[in-house]
Amino acid sequence: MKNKRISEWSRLDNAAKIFPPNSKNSDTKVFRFACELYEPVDKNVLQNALDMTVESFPLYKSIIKSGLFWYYFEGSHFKAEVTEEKLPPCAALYNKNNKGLLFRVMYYKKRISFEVYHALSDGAGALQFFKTLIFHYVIMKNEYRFKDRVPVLDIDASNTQKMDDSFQKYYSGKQSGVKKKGIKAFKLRGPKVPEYRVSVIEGILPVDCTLAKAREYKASLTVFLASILMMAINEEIPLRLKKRPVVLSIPVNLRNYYNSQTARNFFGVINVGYDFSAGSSELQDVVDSLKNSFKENLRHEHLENRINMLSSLEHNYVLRAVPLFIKDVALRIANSIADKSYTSTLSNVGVVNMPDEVKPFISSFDVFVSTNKLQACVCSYENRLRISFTSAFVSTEVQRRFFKTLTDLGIPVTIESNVVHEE
Amino acid sequence: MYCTNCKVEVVGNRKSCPLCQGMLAGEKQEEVFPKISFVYTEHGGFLKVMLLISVIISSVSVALNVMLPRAGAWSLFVLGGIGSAWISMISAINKRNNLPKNIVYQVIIISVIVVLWDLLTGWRGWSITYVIPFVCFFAMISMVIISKIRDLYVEDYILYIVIDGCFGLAQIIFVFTGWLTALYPSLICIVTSVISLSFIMIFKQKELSAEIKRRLHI
Repeated sequence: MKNKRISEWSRLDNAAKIFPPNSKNSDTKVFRFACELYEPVDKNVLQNALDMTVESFPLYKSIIKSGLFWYYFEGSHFKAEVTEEKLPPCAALYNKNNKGLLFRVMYYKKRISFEVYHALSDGAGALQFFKTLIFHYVIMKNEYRFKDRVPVLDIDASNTQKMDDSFQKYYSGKQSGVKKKGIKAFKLRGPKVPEYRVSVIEGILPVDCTLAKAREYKASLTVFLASILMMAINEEIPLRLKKRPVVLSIPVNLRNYYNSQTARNFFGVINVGYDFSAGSSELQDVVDSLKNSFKENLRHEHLENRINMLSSLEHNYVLRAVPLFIKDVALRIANSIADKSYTSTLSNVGVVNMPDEVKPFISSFDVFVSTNKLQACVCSYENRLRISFTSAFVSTEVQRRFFKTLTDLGIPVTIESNVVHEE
Repeated sequence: MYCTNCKVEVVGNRKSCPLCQGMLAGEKQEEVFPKISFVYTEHGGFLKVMLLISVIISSVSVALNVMLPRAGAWSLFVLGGIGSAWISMISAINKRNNLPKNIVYQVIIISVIVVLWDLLTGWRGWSITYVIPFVCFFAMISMVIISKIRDLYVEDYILYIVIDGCFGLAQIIFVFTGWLTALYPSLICIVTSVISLSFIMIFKQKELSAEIKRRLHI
């Protein structure tokens, strides 16, 4: 009999709850981390490294099931299999009628790709898993080099810390201030890529050079890139819609503001906008305006308010007892309202650090996410900054203008892409 | 490769720049992403044909019925039959990956449909006397067989057996109200339900209470 053990289960964290009812083929809520090595990937070694990694991230063995009131994670008996990359980027992982693991690991030539369903984890949490996987892979692949001394990874979180639901932990119940009235942001339109696929265009830039430019404008990297992206989008706006502001939604890693090492979701989102019909279109002016919006939105009280506002809904006993299928409808409506409040998203995952001993084997890291709009993700490794655009649209004008601005500023850019124009 | 228009390096083996679609110059390199061609296949072609056939049959029979009204409103039966078949089929297709759940959904759908048919054709009680008890009974037997043959994990079927068991047990109500025209189908169904529910209570009690806790947590 194989039915001896009773499966463990756990609740979805606060941010994860929005994802299951809103995942569809046009927006799968899946994101990908990829790592480029200097040598072709060895499938068997990768499989062994994966088996080892999964053991230290217990939640990754889960599937999502639905109860009468809530979705929940249930430990499953599925085994994660490494496959050669044969699926388009960020293909669906969660299917209500066909349960399976919520992540996949694929390889293609020198690249290892790791895709995760957002309900399981956010970027920073999934990066812990991915770094562990790459770390194990490099060590196993080059065993003879590490015979004398096996390096250690800087992740020292216990399994309990990784399973921690930090939204619950930092919910204080306090709420202050008035809710801001929603503004309708400019919306990108145009023909879409067939089969709900996303086009991926990644720019690789030298970190030092880009940072130096950002400093010239007295901006942080995120503000600098966000400003350039806004200006690139602004050029797309037809004259009659100029009154609509360009709004970027920026995910914020709350681990930087609260003490948490969770491998699950712990992020908030801030919306920053700029009205080009009222302000100037000079980069310096956009940067200055955005700097203020960032400062305002990232105040501690502001972030705390956001955590409490979202969590208060799930601490409300009446709402909790509403059956799941009604919650599904409500969450779909909430999502479509939120969708109208921003034009695009810029997500800066930050610096990816690896132990010195394994660095010589790794060329670069990148990250991007499924979208039904246009979305940019940024991460850096050593001196390689990668800005990855995913887009549901056929047009690449925003991306072209974005990288044009950077090259005009004197920053060298290398483009990698899955976009192939059939000849 | 290099795009003189965008002034960027482009990695890959391609003719045009992914940003501006202009010509690229320089040496070809390996592509970073695998090329995955579009499928362009028609999904559910069979269902689409079935749907068209259903529409043809329905509209033709309604038209004929309007032309020959003396035979009564028989086309309503045609429409009802086609509608019932579709409801049951759609549920079966959606839940095809989870057999026990599929079976329970079918039990409920079939039960509701036959009671409606029975009501609308002048209540004669055949739905609750024969159809529902036998559907419940066969559902129970097939779930037990499937869980054994497919060697399912306990959490993948326990809830569905319990739901079907409770549904079958509810036949007791009809036995006492005396709405049944024959007793033996309901008795078979009730006894099967009692046996399977007791089996789960006795041998799988821990698993059952864990499953209930998971499914009903607030």
